[in-house]
This record gives sequence, C-alpha cells and structure tokens, in this order.
Amino acid sequence: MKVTRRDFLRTSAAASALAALGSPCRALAEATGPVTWTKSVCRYCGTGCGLYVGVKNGKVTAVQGDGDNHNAGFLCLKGLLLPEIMAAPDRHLHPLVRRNGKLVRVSWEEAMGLVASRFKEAAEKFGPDAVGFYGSGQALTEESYVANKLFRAGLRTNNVDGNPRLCMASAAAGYLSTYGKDEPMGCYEDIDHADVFLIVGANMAEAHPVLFRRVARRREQGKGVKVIVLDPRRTPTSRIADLHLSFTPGTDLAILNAMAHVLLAEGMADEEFVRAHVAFGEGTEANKSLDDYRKLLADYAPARAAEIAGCRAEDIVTAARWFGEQGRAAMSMWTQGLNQRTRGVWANNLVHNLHLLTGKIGLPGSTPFSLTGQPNACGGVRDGGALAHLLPYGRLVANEKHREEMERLWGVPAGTLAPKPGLAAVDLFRSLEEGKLKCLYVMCTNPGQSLPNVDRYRKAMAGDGSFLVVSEAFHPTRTSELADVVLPAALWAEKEGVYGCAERRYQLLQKAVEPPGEARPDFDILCELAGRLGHGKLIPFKTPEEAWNEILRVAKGTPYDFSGMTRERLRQAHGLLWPLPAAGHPGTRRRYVRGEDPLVPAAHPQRIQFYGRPGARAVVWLRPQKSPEEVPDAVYPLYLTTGRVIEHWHTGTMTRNCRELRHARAEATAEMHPQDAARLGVEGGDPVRITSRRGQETFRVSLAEGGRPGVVFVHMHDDRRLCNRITIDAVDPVSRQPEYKICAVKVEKA
Amino acid sequence: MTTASPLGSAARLLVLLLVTGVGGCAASSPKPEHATARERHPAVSAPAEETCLSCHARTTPQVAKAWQEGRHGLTLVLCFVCHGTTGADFRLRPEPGLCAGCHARNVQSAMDAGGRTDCFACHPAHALRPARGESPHRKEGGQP
Repeated sequence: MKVTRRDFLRTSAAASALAALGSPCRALAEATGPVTWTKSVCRYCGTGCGLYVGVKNGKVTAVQGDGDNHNAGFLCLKGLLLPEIMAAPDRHLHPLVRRNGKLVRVSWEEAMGLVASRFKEAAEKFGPDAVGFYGSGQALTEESYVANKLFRAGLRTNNVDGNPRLCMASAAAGYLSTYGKDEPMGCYEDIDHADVFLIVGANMAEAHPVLFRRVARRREQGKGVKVIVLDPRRTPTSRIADLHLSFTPGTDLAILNAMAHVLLAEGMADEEFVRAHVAFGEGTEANKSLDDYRKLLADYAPARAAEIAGCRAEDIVTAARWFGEQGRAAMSMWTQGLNQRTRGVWANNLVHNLHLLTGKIGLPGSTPFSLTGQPNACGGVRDGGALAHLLPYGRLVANEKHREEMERLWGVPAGTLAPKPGLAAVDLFRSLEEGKLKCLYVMCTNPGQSLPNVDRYRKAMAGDGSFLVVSEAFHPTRTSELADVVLPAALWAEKEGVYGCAERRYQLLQKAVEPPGEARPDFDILCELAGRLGHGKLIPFKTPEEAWNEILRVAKGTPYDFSGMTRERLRQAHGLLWPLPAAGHPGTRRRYVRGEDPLVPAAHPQRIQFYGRPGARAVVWLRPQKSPEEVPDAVYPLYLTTGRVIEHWHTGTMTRNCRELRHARAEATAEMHPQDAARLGVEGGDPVRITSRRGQETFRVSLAEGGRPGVVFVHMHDDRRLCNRITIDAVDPVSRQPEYKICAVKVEKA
Repeated sequence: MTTASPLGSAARLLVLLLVTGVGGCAASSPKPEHATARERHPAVSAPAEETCLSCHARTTPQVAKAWQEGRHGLTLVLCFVCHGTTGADFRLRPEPGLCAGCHARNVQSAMDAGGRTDCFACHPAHALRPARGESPHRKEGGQP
C-alpha cells in the first residue's frame, strides 16, 4: 500500500471525526492548521527526553521527540500522551481556602495574604523552625532556588526538603561518601560503549523506557554484550537479561560483596588502579586496607552469599566474571531497589566498590550510573541544594565556610543562615505530627499519597494545629484535599525554566502556552510570597532568567560550575552537561577524567583524578550484609515491595488524566506468584487484603509468573488503593530515605 | 526556541495524527472517517488484572506474539499507542502517520525520497522488523 501526502491530508478529516465522538483528544484532533513548535523536555522521569511542544490556537496539541537530543527523537508512551494532561478536567484554576471545613474559592489577594500572615505569625511566635518547605524534583530549577533562598535566608530555617529525599537521597549519599562529590560521573553515551550491564534494583523497561531501549539496542549491536539483572522480580527489564538473578529482598548487599569476593579471588581486580586511586574505609573513616577488605569479604564466598540471598552461587560467580572480564567495559545502573532501603547508602557503596576494584570507571562504557526518577531532582533539588542538610551547589549547612560563602553571595548579614541542618522529609512530617512544625508549604508534590506509612502523616497534615499550603496544577489530589490553602499552579509548557536530568544534562523548557484560569507559575507565586513576607530585596527577580543569572554566579567556582550555560546558549542547545565553566566550553561527558573534566589539570599524570576526596582517592567501603528493618515472621509471612508500571507515573495525578493510560491500567493490583495465590486459595481478580503492622489496603490479585514466591508487589500510582498505608517509614540513617521496597505483610482473602 | 516546525510540514502533520490517536499499523488504505461499526472493538469488561496482551494472547495469539517479540513489544510501546482504547477512539487500522512521534526523521526522509509514507509496507505491522533492500531513510546523527 502506498500512502501519499494527499492521503495524509485526507486522514486529518478522520481526526476531526474522532473529535465528534468526544474523545479526550478532541483539542488535538482539531489542530489541523499551522502549528508552532517550542523546544522543551518531557515532564515525566529523570531521563530528560528532549521534545517539541506543538501549539495550535493557544493549546498544546502535539509533541514530537527531539531528534537532536540524547533520546534521538524517541519518547515513551507517557511522553507521547503529554498533551492530554494540559486541559484535564481536574486542572486547578482558582485559589481555594478552607472555611468551616470546606475549601472555597477566593481571590489571589486573599489566599496570598492568608499564607503570608500565617507563616509570618508562626515564625515570630514559635521560631523559624516552626515553618517549612517541602518541594519537588519536578519543580523548575529557578522555582526550587527561590524557595530555598526565601526559606533559608529570609525565614531563616533549614526546614527545606522535598520528594527527592524519597527517591535518590541514598544515591546522592553513595556518590558523596565514595567520591566526595555527588552526581554520576558518566553519561548516557556510555551505554553505547558498554560490554556488560549490571542493572540492579531497577526496572528500566517500565521506569526509564527510552534508556532501556538504548541498552537493548547496544545489546543487539555490540559484540557479546551481556546484561545482568539483579531483582527479586522478573520484570520486563529481564527480557534482555543474559542472567536474571532473583534473590530474597534485602540480601543484595551479600551478593554485591560476593561479587567483589570473586573479583579479588580470581585476579580480576586492577591492582595498579587500586594502588593509585583507591582508599579503604569503614564507618565514615577511610582507615582500612585492602587486607581488611579481604577479611570482610572472606565471609561472602559465593556459596555463603547464595545461602543468605536464596539464589544460586554459580550465578553470582557468572555475574562477577562477566563484570570483571579484562578489556570489557562495565556499566552499572540502579535506582529505587537500592535507594529505598534502610541500608540504601551502603548498597550504593557496594556497587561503586565493583567499579573501583576493577578500574572500570571513567572510561567509555565503564561507569556507575544512578538512574533518576524525576525530571529535575538532580538539577533543581540535589544540585541546587534544596534538601535540609544542603546549600546550593555542593555546599553543606553544617560547614561554616559554606554558610559564610552563601551569605556573601546572597547579600545577607553574617549569621543569617542557621548552622543546624533542617528536617528531612519523613522527619519534617513527624515534626508536623508533634506540633512543632506549624506551617508547611508543599509545592508540586503529593505527600498525602506518596509518604510511607501515609495514614500517620495524613492525620498530621489534616490536623487542626497545622497550616498546610499546597501549590498544585491538579485538584483534588490526596494532599490538596487536606490543605488549608490550595494555590493553582501552572503546569509544564505553561512556564519557563531549567530541568537537570540524570546525566548532569541541563535543558531549558520554554513557555509554549498561557496557564489556564488563574493558574500562575510557582516562580511568580514564590516571588510574591517573598514580597509579602518582607523579603522582596532578597528575592528581587522579575523573570526566571534573572534568577538563572544569579544561579550561574552561585555555582561559579564550585565543582558544578556551569557558568557558561547562559540562557541564550540553553535556548539554542539540546542539553548541556556540567561542568561547563566558560562560554565556549563544550560541557563534560565524564567527570574526573583528564582531558574531559575541566577540574582535572591537563598535566595530571594519570587518566583519572578523584578530586573530591582527600589524596584524590575514592573509597571502597567495607559494608556487611544487613537485613531490612522488617523481615517476614509467623504473623506477617510475606514481603511487600512497591514500584512502578509503564502506564503511570508517581501518584498518577497526570497519567490518570490520559484516557489510554487510565484504560490500560485502571487500578493497582496485588501481584502474587501463583504458588502464593494457590496457598491462599485465590485466583486472578479475587480481592485480597494486605496488612502490615501499620495499616491495610484491599487489592485484586494479579498472578505474576515472574514474581518471586513469598514476595507481593503493588504499584504506587493508584490514588484510591494506597500501597503506602502498608509501607514502612523506617529510614536510612545516613540518607534519611525510607524503605519503600521492603516490609513484612500478611495477605488474606477480602 | 520556537519554530514553525522542528522537521517540516509533512512530519508536523504526521505528529498531529499521532497525537490525535488517528493512525495505525495495518496495511490497508487509510479511512476517511472514524472506524466503522465493523471495526469497533468488541465490548469488554475486563477484570483489573486483564491487559490487552493477556486477552489477545488467547484471542489473536499470532498478532500478540508478533508484537511481543518485535521492537515495540520489547520497549513496551503498548497496543493503545497505535490502536487507542477499546472505546470510541479504537482504530483497527491505525494510520502510518503515527510513527512520526518517535521516528519523525525517518518518516520525513521517506517522504522526501519519493512521497512514500506507508511505513508498514516495508515494516510489517506488529513485528515491525527492519526492512530489506534499499532504504529511503537518511542516516543522521544521534544515538544508534
């Protein structure tokens, strides 16, 4: 069959016909005339796929992948359906204030006046730490920056945290402890050079589909490329696995140590690299030796680790041999399976250990690469320092020199910045529960659904003693329904700002359309709030570009230095990777590498310099296997693990507005191995009640052949069937990231 | 950067078709109107654990297998991306124009090479195997 241009023009008539059926795509179908295209970035995961936003008659009508960006034009199915979220029926259009228990429409003037007076009053009466900000890895960099500056230097509290604490704090602490600097040193292009992939605790096929495609393509085209997947469940990612290693949840520390054991025992360590670039440590001090490390690993012979992990010893050996084979580039990729753990930082350290032992780091295709869940968790929150213990661009609250430096940069008196780190996410909501935190400003996130042990914190948010402000593009959400004030926020293509994705790639999202109703960009709302709180001089910005220009100055001279990323350059570019310290600098694909990273002197005698650590030595940390906070017992005999599916994203506020996605996956189910279901006497579709020590929820059963017996999986996206009623709010002692991935439950017929 | 088109008018139109959900991967003439009654998806009342694939693995096993073993199956380009839902927006024979959402350059280069836009003539529906013979597509930069 041949279809000509004429045929295509004719098919546009079909689009209009569909519109008549009341399809949610109606606005799109009508867009058959001239369209303008604005360069942007996908709203969803941390891959940061470039795309163009098509606009017709002031409405977003289409998207198209950006062929000049890293994603080479590819988008996942959620990205392709982005236009549907813009005009969703639950877009929040007008400010609301709670009166007599009900949210009622008010003017912006009234809503902002109330917010400012309540925050001011609480800070004056109870002290600065009676107020707090809970932000998002989905906010634009300029938005997070303004909030960070306002709360720390204006309201003088370090109670600034956000949802990246729930998804990547352990990865950040892993990089920081091992290399002295946060953020991955490699880049997406490394995928095209890798010979071995170690994918651990990551379901890339569903959570990072465009990167998964790139890995699959590399496996097809490279010579003898091997993919190792470590995951208790056999997910769609395992379809490209040459080895899928299933194990008992929480025992992967033993497996990773056993892989290191094999690498050393079989002579696959790069001794020269280790001598030149590696130190060994335990706890927080790099005071151990290679011999000490060998002694620790003696307890993790493959047979012993296999016994702990419930897997086959020969699979551990195979994984180690593939990873360690000389001359073969090895890339590890991981996400929440490692991060959302009470020993998430340790698990991250153990992956880094494999790279440092073998010297498979800082070379094309050899890199430890943490995947990211949100589009601007790295750029806006992690780099921008909008977490309770951080200040912008690698600076720490607890470091006096860093505070002084930020006080100078922000033009505030010495001593303005409080020396005590603020409260991390779960701690922030516990403070709300205790009545110490009086006012909380939540921006672009949904903790009323996403926090672990969520009913506990929903009570705190709804309590009479707390004043909760929620700035959201959609209403109601499971958080805005609890709020005292709900501010209508502009969404994605309705505003301008920068996103920074997992590979240190910063990209400008340009405004394509006006916000609907009375919705406004969070940047504007925060700037107005600053003025109302008496901090107009501190936050003088008229445009996000003005804030960006200040951000460039704040980052200058730090290891992040991207001062060459002018607004104009970002407008023209299809993503730029930092460090990028001068206007003509091309950006940095691989950090710490001589000839690539501008912070490594050109005359450095070795190919790599880990300049973040004393003596330029990265640390192999000695970390033993440690069980999760909760393991099954006689009363709660199964593991519950939570995660993502391809059709939805986060709490589903956006993806549930896409007819196709809602239709394809309407509700969360309890994915059970057929053996467990048979033992319980249930079949697919039967309702079951899952109960933990914290709460319960009812789901219908979905039989999963690829599941692991003894493990139940529920996805996190359903706003009616909340898996987080059940999950545990225990946190990693270093990163403060909760253990969403593992808790003990019982499952009963409902 | 706001442009009239990131690629050209042809690709622009194709993307519109893609996002409207009018398109497809069956090898027949494009329909001037929406799906006829004959082409409507049978009414389904699927339980929560049922998916397009689990049902079609029983009802149209060859099609399900071809998709699952193909590129789109591997990378989870699910059925509704081309076919819509089982409701009023269902299309049995999606238009080839859908492809431009991710493959705009290839669509553009095929059109530039002779006005052909029938992707499925060379890349059979569901399996979507690479075509044999001379390619009309330009090799451009970007990842492989």
